Amino acid sequence: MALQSLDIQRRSASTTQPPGVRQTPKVAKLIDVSKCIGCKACQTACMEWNDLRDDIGATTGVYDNPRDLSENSWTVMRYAEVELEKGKLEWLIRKDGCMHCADPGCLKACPAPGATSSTVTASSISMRRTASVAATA
Amino acid sequence: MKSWFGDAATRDNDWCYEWLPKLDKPYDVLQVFELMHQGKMNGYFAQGFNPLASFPNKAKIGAALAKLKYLVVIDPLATETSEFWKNFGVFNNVEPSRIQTEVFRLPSTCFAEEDGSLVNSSRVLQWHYKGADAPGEAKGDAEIIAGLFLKLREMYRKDGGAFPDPILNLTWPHLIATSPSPEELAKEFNGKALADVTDPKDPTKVLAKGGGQLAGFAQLRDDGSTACGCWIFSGAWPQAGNLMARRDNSDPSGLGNTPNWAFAWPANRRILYNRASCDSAGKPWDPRRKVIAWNPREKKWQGMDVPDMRPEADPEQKVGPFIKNPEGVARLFGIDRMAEGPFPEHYEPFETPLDTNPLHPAVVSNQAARVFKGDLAQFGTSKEFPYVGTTYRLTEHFHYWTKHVRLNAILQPEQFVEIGEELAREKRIKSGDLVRVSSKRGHIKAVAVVTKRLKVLEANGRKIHTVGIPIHPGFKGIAKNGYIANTLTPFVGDANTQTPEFKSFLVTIEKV
Repeated sequence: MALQSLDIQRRSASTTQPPGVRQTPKVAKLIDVSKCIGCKACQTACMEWNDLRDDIGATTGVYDNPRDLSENSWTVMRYAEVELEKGKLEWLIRKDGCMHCADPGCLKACPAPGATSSTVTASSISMRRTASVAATA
Repeated sequence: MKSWFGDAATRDNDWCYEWLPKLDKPYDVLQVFELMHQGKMNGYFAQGFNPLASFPNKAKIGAALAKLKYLVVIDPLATETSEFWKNFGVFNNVEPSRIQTEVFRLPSTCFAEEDGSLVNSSRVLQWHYKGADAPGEAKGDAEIIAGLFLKLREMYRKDGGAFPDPILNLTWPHLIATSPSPEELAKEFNGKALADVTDPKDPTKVLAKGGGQLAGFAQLRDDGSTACGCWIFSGAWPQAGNLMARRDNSDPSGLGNTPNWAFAWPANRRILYNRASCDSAGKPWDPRRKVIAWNPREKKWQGMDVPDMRPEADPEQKVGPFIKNPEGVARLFGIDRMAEGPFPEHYEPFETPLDTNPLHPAVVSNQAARVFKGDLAQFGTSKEFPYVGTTYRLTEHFHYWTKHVRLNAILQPEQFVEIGEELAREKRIKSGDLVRVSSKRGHIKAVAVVTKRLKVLEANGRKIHTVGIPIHPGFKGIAKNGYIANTLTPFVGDANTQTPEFKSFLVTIEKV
């Protein structure tokens, strides 16, 4: 999807102002999880930004920690290993979160150029990669 | 030598070169801990270093530390090494009453609590500024070392000693003797002119005034008229000021070169061997991406970077780009630089799952590698330990430090090991089960993570399973205590750099 057609407010891994800044009445957060490297920087930033500290938990046999969203964990990363075709392993990493921040710390912390905050509404987005794009208004 | 010993270093005494200790062999960490293990060392300073967790064969490292008379730990954090003598149950099962090592813990500042320069692998020295005061009684490393030095010097002055000269004559030109400043130390490593430094081609021309900072290593002289603490860093703090603090990110050439951002050693050269970007006539191989080029009119090399050669060397003189090799060109084989070679070769790790080397069964592992007596008996066989163990870090952690950080502990709270699905099936291990991983040198217990990412390898007709073992856990910090991963790893390094074989050794795994 061509970024210049969107009113993007901010984007990750970039200090320059994105093109097309106008009035921004509605905000959608788009995360192209196919670009996600699973570093959990967003999860850490969410905890710092919102001053949250969950309990130090336990490892249950997966990379996901804490295991689920809670009043103290507003962002968690989920890791799924999918091998639909033999030899073609995909490590699907998904950012799960409340998506309510107008000024999200997770976006600022993302080192991969895959997260944007734009003025389009969720309903207007034609999802090219439904499986890999998470969006909300 | 002038930087270290000042006026005491003269031509007549060979600039005090005889005062320096000379190496009779390499003293890498494996060698040092081998000597310590043999009881041949009295004391050890671990400065920003956590050997009990970081070096292979934790049992041997712990036993070695227990043979010291004293151990000094200079670190911002309480490390496993600083409490190697204390019993932490299964994680460090030692008997403190049987360890006589006296341990001194000197808390230091961390990088964010001090001014100074950091140098990265692009050779850029970048000045940074203190962001916060250090907690408690922590002091900067320079202040700690200064305290030790001043005390030692006082003792040598009062009581003499076998060889007091290097201690008594060491230069110490610091405004506050007990606390050398980062600025003073940086100026010292840059170097200064002790007398006027003149142009060798024109002695009337003064390049650097006596007492002033040197512009770079080209101004160093071997007649005692200059002093420099580290020649490759010379030019970082010339008379103009601290170039490491520059923050101009402009890219005049458009090729991604920012020559006025901080300082790159040597000589602010951003690309080493940049002569190789031109053909033999001095023309860039790619005219659109000109790094340097020979300017025949001005008779010098010019461009967006500092030429890595004599700037007036006409291409007809055929000065090769690889100036550190006498022949001036790159080498495919390091004939006189490697412990083995010169031809590419494959050796199996000292612990191999194959029991042979498929290329040549008579020579399995690197004959040039150094194996200490006693360590050979600590290598396991594939019969007893059939799987390959390999250690690594997780993205959520930084080495062993982040055990002390709650955020990182929340992200990855507990020790785990990773195995592939086939091995998990064979061993009836499910994700989340507690498992024991053992090598010839010890064992750890951890949660199993069964993953599709680890595949079975086939080599020499055998199936090779891998057990992935993230490092990080230990018994100091706020994260969950765990076993030190290097309990498992073998005490042997490669033949050239002595980097330990952390990445390939033999283990077995079972459900607990």
